[in-house]
Amino acid sequence: MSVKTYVNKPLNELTIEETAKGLAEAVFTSREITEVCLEHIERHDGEINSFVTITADLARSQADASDARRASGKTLGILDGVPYNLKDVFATDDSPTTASSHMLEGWVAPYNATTYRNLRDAGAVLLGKTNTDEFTMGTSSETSYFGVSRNPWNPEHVAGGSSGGPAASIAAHMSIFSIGTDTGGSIRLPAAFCGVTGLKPTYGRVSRFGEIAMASSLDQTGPITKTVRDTAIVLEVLAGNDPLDATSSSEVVPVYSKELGDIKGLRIGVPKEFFGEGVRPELETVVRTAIADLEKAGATVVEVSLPAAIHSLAAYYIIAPAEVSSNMSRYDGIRYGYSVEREESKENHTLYDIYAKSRAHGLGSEVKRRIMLGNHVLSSGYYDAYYTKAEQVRAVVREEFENIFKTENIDVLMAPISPNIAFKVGEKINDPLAMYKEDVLTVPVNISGTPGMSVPCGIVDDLPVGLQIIGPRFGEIAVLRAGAAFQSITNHHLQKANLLS
Amino acid sequence: MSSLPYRYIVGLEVHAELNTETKMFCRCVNKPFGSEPNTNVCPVCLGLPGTLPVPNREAVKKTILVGLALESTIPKISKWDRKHYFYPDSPKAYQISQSDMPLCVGGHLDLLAPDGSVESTVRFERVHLEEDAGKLQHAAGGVSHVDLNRAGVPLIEMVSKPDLTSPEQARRFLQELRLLVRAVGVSDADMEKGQMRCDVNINIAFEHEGTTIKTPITEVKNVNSTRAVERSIATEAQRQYDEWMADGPIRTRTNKLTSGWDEDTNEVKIQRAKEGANDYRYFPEPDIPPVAVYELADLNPKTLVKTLPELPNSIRKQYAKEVGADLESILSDREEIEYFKQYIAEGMPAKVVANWIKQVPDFLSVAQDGDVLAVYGLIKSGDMSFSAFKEKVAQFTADLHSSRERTAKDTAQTLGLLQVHDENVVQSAIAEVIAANPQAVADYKSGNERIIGFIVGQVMKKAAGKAQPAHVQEAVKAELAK
Repeated sequence: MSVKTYVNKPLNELTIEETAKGLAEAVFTSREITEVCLEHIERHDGEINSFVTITADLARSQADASDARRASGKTLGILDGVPYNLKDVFATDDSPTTASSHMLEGWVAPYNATTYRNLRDAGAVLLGKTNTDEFTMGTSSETSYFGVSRNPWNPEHVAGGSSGGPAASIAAHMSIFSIGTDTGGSIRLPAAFCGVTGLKPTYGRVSRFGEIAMASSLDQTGPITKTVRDTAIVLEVLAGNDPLDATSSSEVVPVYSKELGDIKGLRIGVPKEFFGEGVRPELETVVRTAIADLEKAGATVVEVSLPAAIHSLAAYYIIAPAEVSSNMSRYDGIRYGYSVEREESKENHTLYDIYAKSRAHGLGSEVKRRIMLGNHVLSSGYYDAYYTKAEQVRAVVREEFENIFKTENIDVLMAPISPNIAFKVGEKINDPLAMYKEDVLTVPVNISGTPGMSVPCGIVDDLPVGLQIIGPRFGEIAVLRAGAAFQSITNHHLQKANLLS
Repeated sequence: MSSLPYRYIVGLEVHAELNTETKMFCRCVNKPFGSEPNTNVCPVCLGLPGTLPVPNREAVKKTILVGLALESTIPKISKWDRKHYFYPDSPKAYQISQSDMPLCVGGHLDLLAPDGSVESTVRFERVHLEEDAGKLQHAAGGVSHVDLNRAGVPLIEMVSKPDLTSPEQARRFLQELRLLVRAVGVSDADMEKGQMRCDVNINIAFEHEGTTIKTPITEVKNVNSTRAVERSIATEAQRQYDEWMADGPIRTRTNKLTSGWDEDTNEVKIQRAKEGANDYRYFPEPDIPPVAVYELADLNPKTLVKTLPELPNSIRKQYAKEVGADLESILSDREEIEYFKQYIAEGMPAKVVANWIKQVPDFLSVAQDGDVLAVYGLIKSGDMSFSAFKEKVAQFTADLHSSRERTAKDTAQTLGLLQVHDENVVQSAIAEVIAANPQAVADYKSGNERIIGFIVGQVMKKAAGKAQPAHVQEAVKAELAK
């Protein structure tokens, strides 16, 4: 069977822009590219484990509907007919939503997340739900009840987390784009580990309604794509005020894809605290080279200082578990999800037993660890020492980020995403602290509520390195412009994972 | 007043469900009573994964109105917090409540004496807005059913300071608060339906061997009738006193006791000693941004205060003396309050309006513009008696409304209610009655003014339907004064 190609690529390797063009030119149909992706998933995902649920029938019917719309001249826009996947934390009423937890195994929501509604209304074709650390708690996808997602560049290494499934599925070209969530780096870190582009927008930019919450004041939905231009396209569809999310912003949504411009006049701040100690020297070199490439192409680079930002990690591991302990309380084995009551119906359980045993069996150890941490920091007598203090740190970090763009007259900040490249499966899973430290360079963006993106910027030890681009709140345009400029002068984003080469 | 050896120190925490169209954080219909279980629910109030709460502006507005009625301070910024506890009536395992930044701070409610003067003042800590929990129904065989129709219904908590000093005063205070939220129009506050619920905090103080003893506080929960409030306080106070006198553990306990009121046995049932405060692990609700009510046109307290209806105490201060006991029953009915104020404003005396509200309510409820004043005009002029009108009020109303052109006088005429007054007949009747009753006349002249009723009655009888009592009375007085 001859493989259909477009712009000299198999269909599953296309970007959104290329897919849209090919569909518009009727070189292939949505059903064809959907089948190619499904077949590719079928062939390779046994090794990568990026999908928890494959919604093949749904995808085919959505693809056919898209083709029918196109035939009658009524396409819904650039995403119409483009195959994608959702991290398995978005409620969908036509497929299970598990948060990669035993607790929600098989659970089908009776409603749809706003993000899913937006993408469905835009005509995108859902291929399935992708793997995550359990309830998004982790940095490696290893805490998933459904097994670790492996790195398409080297399956002995992790894909990163928590959006490991989404990032691996894009690096392995199993979907044209994916949607992840980022609470402490969960889009950017796996995007960096897997060599793809991932954006965490400003807190409040994208509705959280229907996104299973980890830490409500930090969670944010964003795209994982093959290019920055694609990220801009997806963000346009996701962003905007949602009456169902009181924290979503009513700030006007720009047409991001039309605002990308060029590199001229771009001013880059390089925060010195994000380099040096703890960051692997070869990785630092790759990141600094990337920034130097931008400088050579016409950008201005200044060194800046964010002395408070580095304390974000400590604040994060108080605020996030506090909110986790609260958000996870609803999984009590009474109304839905795993329940010891349904498991061992012969036994007679007291109410306390149902709570305790359902949670003990239904939730994994990392989730339980964070629930315990959170309950501790919120308990009376400890609240002020931990939670109040952490909120004070958050306020200082927010202010620091608020000010730096003005006082230093910079458009974006650039830094590494992680101190090191993707580690090996199993390497850190028994050392929670080492795992938590992976987040040190990504959490300041969540704590400050600012937008942050990872773009591939080179290779160390045959594994990708991510360049982090951070903008001011609601400054996605600056971030996307800098990222698009970088991808217009470099080819790092075109490197293919070993799985495919 | 009391011969008891101790003083009461009592504060109430009163919950009232707001009568909004929809629930507090979702747009489910707010109808916790009288629906099939679990029919007024949605993913949000079921607490399903991924759902988010969006506050109900109408509920915020109604809470602020209560605060304004109590003359509370409405702070610039208010926020919600999560209060955590595991129980099947709580789908999220936390209640969205308000901890340190409630919508209303302080305030007071006055209890008035019958003449409308202030008898006592009860201050408030706060009024805050939260969500109600669902309901559990415990069936036979150890099975419990959960109904979440009530989960997420907007609930205000009004917390008084411990200013109450007797069981009777506490009962009156609760009645007064119920009257107030009804008058403001924010809650039906029917305690039998659970729309208003009360927790009582009580301790006592007394002198013992030269020192003042204050017992530790007991919180009595689920005191859900005004009578139970009065009884539970008396019962618990005496129980505390007896325990103290018997050298019981109350002497050394420092923490608060939690107990429940058993309506069937009239007993306070001690549940558990609180270990300090319950650890609800409050923290700011991250799904709801703080609300700055003065910056929102529809919630600005400065505007809302102008929409407050006239409150019961204000009406009492104006009319309690004149109207007397009927006023209380009028104040308990929003429609009656409306009639009362409307017809007073149109010029009728308060006493008359109150009387009509009680005597001819059906006429008032269907009266069209001008009807009431026209009827009152006939009665005031003596052309019709109120008693004759009341007797035929149903026919009167039907006839009056039978055609647009009918006037009250036409109707009175048709029904034979108009009173004729023939001065000649009256004068001769008066002369005859005075002549026939010298003793009564002598009594009147020696100061027994009440005897005039008898004389007037005799004249009316003699005049046989050709005299109007008001005029007759005047004429008799004039004659006797000669």
